[in-house]
Amino acid sequence: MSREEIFEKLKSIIKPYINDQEAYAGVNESSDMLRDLKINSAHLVDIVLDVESAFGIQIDDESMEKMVTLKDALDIIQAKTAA
Amino acid sequence: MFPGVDIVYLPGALRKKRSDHSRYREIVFHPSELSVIDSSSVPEITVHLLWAMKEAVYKSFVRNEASSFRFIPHCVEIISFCEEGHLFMAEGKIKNVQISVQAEVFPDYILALVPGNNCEIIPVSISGKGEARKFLSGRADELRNSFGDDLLFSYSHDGPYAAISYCRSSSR
Repeated sequence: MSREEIFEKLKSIIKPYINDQEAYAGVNESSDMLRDLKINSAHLVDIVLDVESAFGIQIDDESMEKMVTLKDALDIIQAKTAA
Repeated sequence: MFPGVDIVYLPGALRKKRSDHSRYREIVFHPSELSVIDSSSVPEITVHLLWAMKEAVYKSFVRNEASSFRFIPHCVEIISFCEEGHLFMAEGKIKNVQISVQAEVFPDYILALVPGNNCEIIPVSISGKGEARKFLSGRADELRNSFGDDLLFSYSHDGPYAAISYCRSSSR
C-alpha cells in the first residue's frame, strides 16, 4: 500500500473523532492530532484500535507516544505494515 | 502539587462497551487495574473511573514536573484503589512518583481530581473543544480577578460538561 493510500485510509479513520470540520478540511501530514485536530486522548485510543484493525498491525506504547502528528502515525503504520 | 482534573461524560463514554474488549484492556490498563475492573459490580463505569483518575494524575504531574510528554494510558498506574463512602480514592504512579487522586461518580459524569484543590463543574452548551477552552480560560480570568494572580488551573471538558480545578500556587 502506498503512503498516499495509507494517508487516505488514516484520514477516514480519524474523521469521526474530529468535531471541528474546519480543522478536518485542512488536515495534512503535519497536523497535530491533539492541538490542531482537537482529538482528545480517549479518542486517540479509539484511533489506535481502528488503525490496528484496518492495517492488521499492533501499536505498542512507544509508538503510541510518538504519534503526535499524522506524519508520525503514517511513518509508524508504514514501518509496521512493511515489516 | 499542581491541580489535575478530568471529567468523563458518561452517556458518551458508555456508548462503546469497554470492560471486555481485550485489546482496549491491554492498551489502557495495567494488570492491577484490570483486577479492579473485573471485581467491580459496575465494570463499565469502573473503566471510565480509572481512566479519569489516570488523566487527572497525568495533568498534575506534567505541570508539576514542567514535563511535556504525551499522555498514553500506561504512563499512569492506579494503585491502592479503595472506596470511602461516595468517594473513590487511589494513588497514581507515574514515572516513580505517587500522586493521590480521588473521584466521584455522578448520574451523568465522573469527576476525578488530585485532591486539595477547589473545583467547579460548569455545564456548557457550546460544542467543540476549542470553544470550551476559550470558555474555561475566561472563567479562569474571572477567578484570578476575584482571588489573585497566583492561582494554578487544570481544565477538562467532555460532552456538555466542563470542569475547572484551581489552587493557590503557595498551597501547592
